[in-house]
Amino acid sequence: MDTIRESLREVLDPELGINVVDLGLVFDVRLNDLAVEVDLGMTSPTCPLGPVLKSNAETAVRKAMPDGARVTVNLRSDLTWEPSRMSPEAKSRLGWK
Amino acid sequence: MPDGSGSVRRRLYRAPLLVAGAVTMVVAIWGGLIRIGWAAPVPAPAAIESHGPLMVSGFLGILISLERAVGIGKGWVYAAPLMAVLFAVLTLAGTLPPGMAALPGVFAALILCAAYATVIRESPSRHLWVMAIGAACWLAGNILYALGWPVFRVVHWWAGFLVLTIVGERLELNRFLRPSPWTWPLFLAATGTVLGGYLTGLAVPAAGDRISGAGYLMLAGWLGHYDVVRHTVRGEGLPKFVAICLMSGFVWLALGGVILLGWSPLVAGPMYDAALHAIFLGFVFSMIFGHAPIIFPAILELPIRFRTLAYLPLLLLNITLALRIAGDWFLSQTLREWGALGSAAAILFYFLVTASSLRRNRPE
Repeated sequence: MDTIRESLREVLDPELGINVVDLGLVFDVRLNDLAVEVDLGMTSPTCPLGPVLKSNAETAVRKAMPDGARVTVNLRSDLTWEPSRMSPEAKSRLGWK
Repeated sequence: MPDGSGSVRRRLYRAPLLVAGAVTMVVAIWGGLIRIGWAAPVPAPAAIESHGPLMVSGFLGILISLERAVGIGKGWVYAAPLMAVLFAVLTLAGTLPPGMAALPGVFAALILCAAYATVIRESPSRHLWVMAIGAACWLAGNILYALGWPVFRVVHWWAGFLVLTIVGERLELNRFLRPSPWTWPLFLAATGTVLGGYLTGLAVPAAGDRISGAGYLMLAGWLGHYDVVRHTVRGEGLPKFVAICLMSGFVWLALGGVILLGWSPLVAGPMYDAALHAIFLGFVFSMIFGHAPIIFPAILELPIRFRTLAYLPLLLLNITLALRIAGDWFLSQTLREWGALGSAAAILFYFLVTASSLRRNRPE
């Protein structure tokens, strides 16, 4: 599970330059044998970046998994992002101190 | 980046809309250059007389509503950029009475308003409301334009469309920063002043211009203090470039506000040209430069690699716009013409850099 989360750190928000894990956009990671399912949230339902982040997340997780693993990334518009989901590292980079 | 049959299919209907937007922009800029004094073949008479409407309700209407359609992911929202394309085509064709030709612009804005209403109903938030009010300004401007109001009275509503769309997005990103009790009240005061100016301008143009000018100054101050760019400018690569683009845009918005405060009511003439281009070219195009490397890959589902070469057209845009506004101030036609030509070259140069970055990184 940690390996999968670590692989998702490759996926960056292009404007902030911070990865989706530290930004708190990865809501859940589920692992079942050779099937991985990731729930990704967005900060706004009008943001066109969702499909790009989803695709980049799929690529990143697939690289971290053995051949033949099934990788699914769900872009969940029903999940509510809050600033409290950000990691201390992300907050520090954005001036929270 | 996704490169399956789904993304190829999506590209098939998104790319023509993007191309239609680019063609509208090129024709409208071409018309603008003839209008300012350059001798060149006329692509269509309307490209000259309708330079502003084609840039806002044509090019930017297509671009912004296409971006929203991709983000919202509902098929019917694509009717908005399609209507904006139709607006551009009918305006350029010049065969219908102006009011009729402008009608698709009204429908485009209506669809965009409906799209915002849908997402606000599902997940209400402040930044979506701000962007929705921006779309309502576009609707108001397009209705007034279709009714035959002169562009210099309508243009404030069109500015509202672009300014509120942009600041709505910035308000969304502000959520990544430590909350301050002043963030929202000050934002509300600034946007409220801008909107108050537009409404006042319907009855008293001079007062309306001054009030919206003060509002732009307040908004520029808010952006300078509360925008996330204060932190991302310390990064590198694309985030730093975006931050620098936006910061230069904030300065142009402030200048537009100052001109509106000092020279209202704005009617056709040098200071009208200066105020409008500080806002539409300085503020809006700085945002477009900053966001094109983010939005174009999202629309086309193609990867892009940021190239530092993009700083050159940004620098050129800022220098040439300063020349143009200096030309407006000193009544120098030469400065105005060369400044405008330089800005057109900067925009063309920038989009060539962006397009070549997309092509260079396409998967084998």
